[in-house]
Amino acid sequence: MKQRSDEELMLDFKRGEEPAFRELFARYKNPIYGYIRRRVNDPSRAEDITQDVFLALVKNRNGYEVRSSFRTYLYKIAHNRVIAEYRKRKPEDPLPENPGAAPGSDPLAVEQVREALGQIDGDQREVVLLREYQGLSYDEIAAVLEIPVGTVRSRLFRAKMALRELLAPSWAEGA
Amino acid sequence: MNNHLVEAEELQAWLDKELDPARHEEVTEHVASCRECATLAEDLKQVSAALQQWEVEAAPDSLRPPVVILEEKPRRRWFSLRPVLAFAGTAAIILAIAAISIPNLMRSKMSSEQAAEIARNRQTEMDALSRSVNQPGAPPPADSPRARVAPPAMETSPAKPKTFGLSASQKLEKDTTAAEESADIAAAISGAPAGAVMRDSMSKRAASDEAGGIAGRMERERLGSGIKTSTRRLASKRAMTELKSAPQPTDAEAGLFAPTVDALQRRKLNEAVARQRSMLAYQANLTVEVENFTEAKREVRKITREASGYLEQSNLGFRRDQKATATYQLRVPPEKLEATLDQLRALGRVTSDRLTSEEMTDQLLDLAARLTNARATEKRLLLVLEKRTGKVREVLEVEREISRTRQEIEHLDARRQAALLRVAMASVSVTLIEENNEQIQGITPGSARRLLKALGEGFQSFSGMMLALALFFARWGLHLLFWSFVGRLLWRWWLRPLTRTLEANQI
Repeated sequence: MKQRSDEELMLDFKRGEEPAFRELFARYKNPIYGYIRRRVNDPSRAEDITQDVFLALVKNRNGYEVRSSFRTYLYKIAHNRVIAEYRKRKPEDPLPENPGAAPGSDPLAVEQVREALGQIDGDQREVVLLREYQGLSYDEIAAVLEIPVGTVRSRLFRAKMALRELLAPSWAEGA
Repeated sequence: MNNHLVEAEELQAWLDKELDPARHEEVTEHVASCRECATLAEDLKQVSAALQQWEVEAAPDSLRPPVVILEEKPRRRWFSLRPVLAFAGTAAIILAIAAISIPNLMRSKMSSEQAAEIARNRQTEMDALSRSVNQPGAPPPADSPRARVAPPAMETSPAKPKTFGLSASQKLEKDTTAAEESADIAAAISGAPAGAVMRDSMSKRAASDEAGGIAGRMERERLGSGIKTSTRRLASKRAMTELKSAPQPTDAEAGLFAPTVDALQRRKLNEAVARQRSMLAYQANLTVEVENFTEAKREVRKITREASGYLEQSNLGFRRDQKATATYQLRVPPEKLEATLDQLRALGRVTSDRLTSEEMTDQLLDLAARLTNARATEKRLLLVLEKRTGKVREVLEVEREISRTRQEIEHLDARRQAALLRVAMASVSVTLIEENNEQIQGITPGSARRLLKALGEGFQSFSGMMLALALFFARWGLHLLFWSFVGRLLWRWWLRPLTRTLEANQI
């Protein structure tokens, strides 16, 4: 059976098909949680915010237009929710102290990456997080952040160059 | 960074496969041949690999999809029913109001136009008749009730009545009858001997017949319907013309009133009729609130005496609010009416003031003419009875007819006396109302009375407010309905989707 696309599922959900929503939730539960978890200290808080994102999706399902990508639509909701959460936190602490490392990962490496990301520009960091961890395309990132595609490309490149400089010593140590 | 044709930024996009296919091929070829770009690309890959080391845990199992309660969405029609119904209701109300008001407006407009047209035609005809009656070169009669009532300004000569299609003897008989009627009317009104009037009128009978006929028609037009024949009407007018030059009748010669009428009244009536200045009956109604009630009552009697009038009726009583009232029916000469009313108004605060006048000429002349006719009929019947040439049954019929004619004469006479009295003496009804006792006597109203008064004023104020609200909605209700309908449409089509988008962005 052909798997329905995200857009089809969303349209079905608009028409009142509740299983379509459950399918969408299953598909995007982990990506959205991961997106938010990399920004929030407390896992339970990240869980709440993820729940809020999907609640907003339910509430505003009638505002979804078929011409836009569902993934973009969902990440836009998540991005706005994260911005609202940032407003409650101190500006000098943009990343969680508890980075939420997956079991089996190298804590030191995670700490190095987190520290490097914390030192680059916030706009660049946002592009890196969406690209490297969420796998969004340049167009999708541009739609979520509401910036031109060229800006996405340049920010991403500059962020990578800055991270190269910050992470190079650790590579040398590893080597 | 480097001077290659490939930008450094493009390397990252090349790694992410975000370049268009043609450019992707070019960069691939370049990187394969350029050590520097290849090194840079390798570094960028290494950064990405390092970043991937930061993996987060999976979402906990406690993260469940929110419970979704979807309300049953109604089937969307291609049109929205509620706005259509609202619009249809508004349109129906507007059409109903238009259907009621427009015909009434048209009718009243038509009525006013027709009335104006009729008035114009009537005036034109009357002007034409009056010009033809008057002597050549004389101005037409002035357009005033008195002027129309006044007899035409011409040589007094009773005109020959219209006698179309009659033989010579019939015409002579008709002329004689008309002359007799004319003399009777003159005698009846003025009190002068009928014979003297008749002699004078007959000597002047050789006037233009045409003018007389037209004058009769004119009088009919002027004075309205009610006159049986133009001859009688014309004869009446001729008699009035005679009266202008006639001497003042004495009480003895006055044949106007029944013997029971007071001599003073008879004199007043004769003066008024003889002067022929006014055939109007005045009626005044006045209500005055006075401070000193007793003094005001005394003043009313004094004013009446000074005006050579008399008190016809008086009535004292109390109103529901315990205020004393006194109502007087006075009779004063018309020439003293205005001065009397001014004096009565000065007694206190006038709350009602009404003055009306009624044109009595038509009625009086009609009564006089009918009376004359009835008397002439009675005379002829008496002559017939004297001859007694018929059978008994015929004689009895004549006697019955005489009796009926006598009754009619007395009835007409009584009506005419009453009408003449109304003309000779204006009627004034004045009501005196005592002002608030408490204010006059210096008594402070008690608390209960003040509370009741405040409650009453409060209720009045509330009623006024509700009325104002009702008037407001009656005036602007349709406007509000229309704009609320427009606002609803705007909300649905434009503002609500915009609000939803903003909410989504905020979350």
